[in-house]
Amino acid sequence: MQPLIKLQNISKSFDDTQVLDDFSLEVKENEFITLLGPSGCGKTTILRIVGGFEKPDEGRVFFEGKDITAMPPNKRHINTVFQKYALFPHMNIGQNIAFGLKISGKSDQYIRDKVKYALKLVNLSGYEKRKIDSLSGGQQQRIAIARAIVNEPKVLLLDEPLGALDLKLRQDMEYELIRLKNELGITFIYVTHDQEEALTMSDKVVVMNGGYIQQMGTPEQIYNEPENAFVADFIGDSNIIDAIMVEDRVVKICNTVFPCIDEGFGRNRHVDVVIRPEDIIIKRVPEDYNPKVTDTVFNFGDGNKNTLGRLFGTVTHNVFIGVHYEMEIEAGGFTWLAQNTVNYPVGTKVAIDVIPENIQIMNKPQTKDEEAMEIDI
Amino acid sequence: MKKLIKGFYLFLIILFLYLPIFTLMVFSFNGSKSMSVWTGFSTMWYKEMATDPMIVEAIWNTFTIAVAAGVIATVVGTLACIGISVMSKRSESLIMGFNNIPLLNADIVTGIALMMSFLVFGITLSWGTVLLSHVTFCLPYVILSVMPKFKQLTITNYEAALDLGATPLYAFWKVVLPELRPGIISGFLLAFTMSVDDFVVTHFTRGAGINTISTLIYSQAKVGIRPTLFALSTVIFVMVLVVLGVSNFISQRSEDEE
Amino acid sequence: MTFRKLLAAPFIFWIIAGTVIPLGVIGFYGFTTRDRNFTFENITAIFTAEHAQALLLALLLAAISTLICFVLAFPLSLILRSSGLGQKGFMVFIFILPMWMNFLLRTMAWQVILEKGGLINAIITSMGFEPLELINTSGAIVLGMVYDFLPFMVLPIYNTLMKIDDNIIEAAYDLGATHKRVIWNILLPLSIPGIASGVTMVFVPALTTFVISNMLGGGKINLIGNIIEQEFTTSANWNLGSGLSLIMMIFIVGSMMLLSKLDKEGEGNFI
Repeated sequence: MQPLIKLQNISKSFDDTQVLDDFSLEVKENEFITLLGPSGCGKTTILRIVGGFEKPDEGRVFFEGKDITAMPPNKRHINTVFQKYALFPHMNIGQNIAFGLKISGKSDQYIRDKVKYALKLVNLSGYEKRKIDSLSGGQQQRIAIARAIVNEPKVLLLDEPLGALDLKLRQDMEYELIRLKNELGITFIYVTHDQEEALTMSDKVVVMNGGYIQQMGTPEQIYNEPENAFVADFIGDSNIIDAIMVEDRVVKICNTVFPCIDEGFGRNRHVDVVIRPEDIIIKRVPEDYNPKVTDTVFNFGDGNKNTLGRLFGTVTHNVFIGVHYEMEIEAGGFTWLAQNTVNYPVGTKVAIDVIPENIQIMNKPQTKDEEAMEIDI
Repeated sequence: MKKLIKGFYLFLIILFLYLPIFTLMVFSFNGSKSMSVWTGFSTMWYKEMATDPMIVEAIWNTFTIAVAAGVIATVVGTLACIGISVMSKRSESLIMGFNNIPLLNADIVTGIALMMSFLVFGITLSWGTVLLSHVTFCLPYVILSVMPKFKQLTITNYEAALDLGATPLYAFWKVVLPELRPGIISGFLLAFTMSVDDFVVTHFTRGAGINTISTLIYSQAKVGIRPTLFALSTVIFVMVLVVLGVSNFISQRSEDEE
Repeated sequence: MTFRKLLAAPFIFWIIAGTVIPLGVIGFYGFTTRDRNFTFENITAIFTAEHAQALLLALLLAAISTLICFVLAFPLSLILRSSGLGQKGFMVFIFILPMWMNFLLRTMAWQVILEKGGLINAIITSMGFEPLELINTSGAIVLGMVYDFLPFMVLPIYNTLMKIDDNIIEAAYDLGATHKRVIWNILLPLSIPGIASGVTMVFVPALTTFVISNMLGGGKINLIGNIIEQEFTTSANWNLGSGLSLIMMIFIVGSMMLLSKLDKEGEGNFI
């Protein structure tokens, strides 16, 4: 199947600052794709190029196989939901939503029905005559979405649409957006710097930094198998540690050998290891317990007691943050971030274990440039 | 093509705005009294301007009145803002309403109203009545520049200063005033400019023989303009350019520093 | 607290002495005869042919000048906004710089150019044509008004245009609007506060001027401002002058109330 949107070797600079460099991406029909990255990573520029608000310096944009690189935004069957809603302040809600339909010369009856339908879709039925400034931020956001989808675009571009909303409202809107996408069957291209939004809503997440794609995949892939330290660090809290890959399925972390499941990194190679805080298993050890050397040695093959790697340390910080406690544990010369529903007070001596499946091995970037290296799609 | 049309439009407007001024500047260097025929370069009109007691006195009057009116209006206006800021909302809006009257009213009405009042109360028109009148129409500008700064004032800073042991006066001087300074400066500059630029109010309230640059031009325009005024307008234009250029440069630099 | 309020005393005194009392004096003279008897004559005097004509002509010329200023200033502001020249303060500076030049000097410049022996006629006659009657016409007065007050129209319109969020314009394009449509349906309605304030700042001084009409009309064309001025200088009839001023003020207040409705938030405010 041919992709709905295809970005081919796009480069773009603003005043000598290269924002995008040879960027390529394909978006399939009906996909909810999220461009995720810190500010300045080029994600908004991509959205604006797709919307037609910026022309790429190099490269082409295809829509249903046709080159639309030079097509102005008012000719594209693509609509945008802007970051700060960009509702027309001098029109009421009905007029705002009807704006695009009026331009395409639809009949009054059609427009009236469509506006009504769009308002119903965003749960704001009967708001036609209201003024923009009488609405809350969340309501304005819904109107902005209604104004875009009423034109039945093939693609909806959303530029951090939830950025200005508070947490509770944001979560409600996330579900709303998923529902809308499923009901309307349009392709969403969503831009955000909020990893939680990206993971909750998307079919596919594109993690970006410095104008390059760092990793692309399903939310699960991105979260569980980050391909490099940037992705790991950007997606959720992580422990990213220097380690040595002793051989296939054996990694040495803080001078302690841990079994893992990764292969093919070679022997005695320096690698980065990612361990999620919730994957750290904490066990309380007696005050006077002195770990014996054997406790930290991994016995190959016998498959019993010491199948896990193990480090010993002390809890140095402990904060209750809702569902669980977030702790810092000094162990093996590294400060580990750990989460647990059980409270281990500061000063508690603990052992920490990680099961092999939760140890994610990544190649170490050699230089800064390589860190921003484009990963093959 | 579109760009060309836009550029041409801007060019036409610039031409319209500057050609008349430019014409005056060119003929200020003309060797004769003619205002249409170029008879050779000369600086005679500048020399004549500098030695014409009428012009020199008019320049002197214009600037002394503007400085005095600016200073008085700024002091009275800033003090008033302090007072108004602790008043009730109702008295504030009442005072601000009256404050807006001279601002919105036609100059000619302000002028004749002040002139009649002076004469009714037995005050002879003089240099002083011009000054008093200028303060009257400058005050609203000062209030409008300073008052918004009062609204933005972080009152906690003042309270923090008191909390740290400052006397109210010291706290005002060291904490509040610096925050108000931009408003006060722009208020003074606005008052100064309005005063320099005024003709109508001065026309009605000046005493016999008192001339400012504006009234001098007006009376000469009736009997016949001499090129000394072209020289004067060239000097004024260059001065405006320098003053605005410098103040732009300063504000740009202070923004950069921030 | 009360001490701080006292700081406003000099200002309040000044308002009373410089604004309230003088307006009262105008009111007093406007409604009395020279012998201090109450009368409406000074007010109804507006209906005499000479006065009515002066008022109507002033209204007409002021309206024409305001319209011309708007027609010139709106595209200018649009160009400044769209070309990005607006961001560079320098371009805007060029268009409002003349505002800081003495207004009498600016008017005088046109007097010099339009005069019988002035620059334009010198050029015309040198090409072998008959000299034109340029000065002392209504056209010359309108030209002077437009020239003097154009920056006052440009600045507020430009300010409101620059305040419009780029996203709003992009949203309109995004929804399929053409360039023309964006101007008519988005930019024009959104700059109404600026237009209203620009119109006030051009219309009121144009309506009440006596300087421009005197310098460029050669004393032959009388506007209401000229009539009033003459009552205080040459004719010395304060009562009639005050009465006519009151009439003129009705028009000022009326036009302001009309326009302030369009600029509720004071967005287009100049200061």
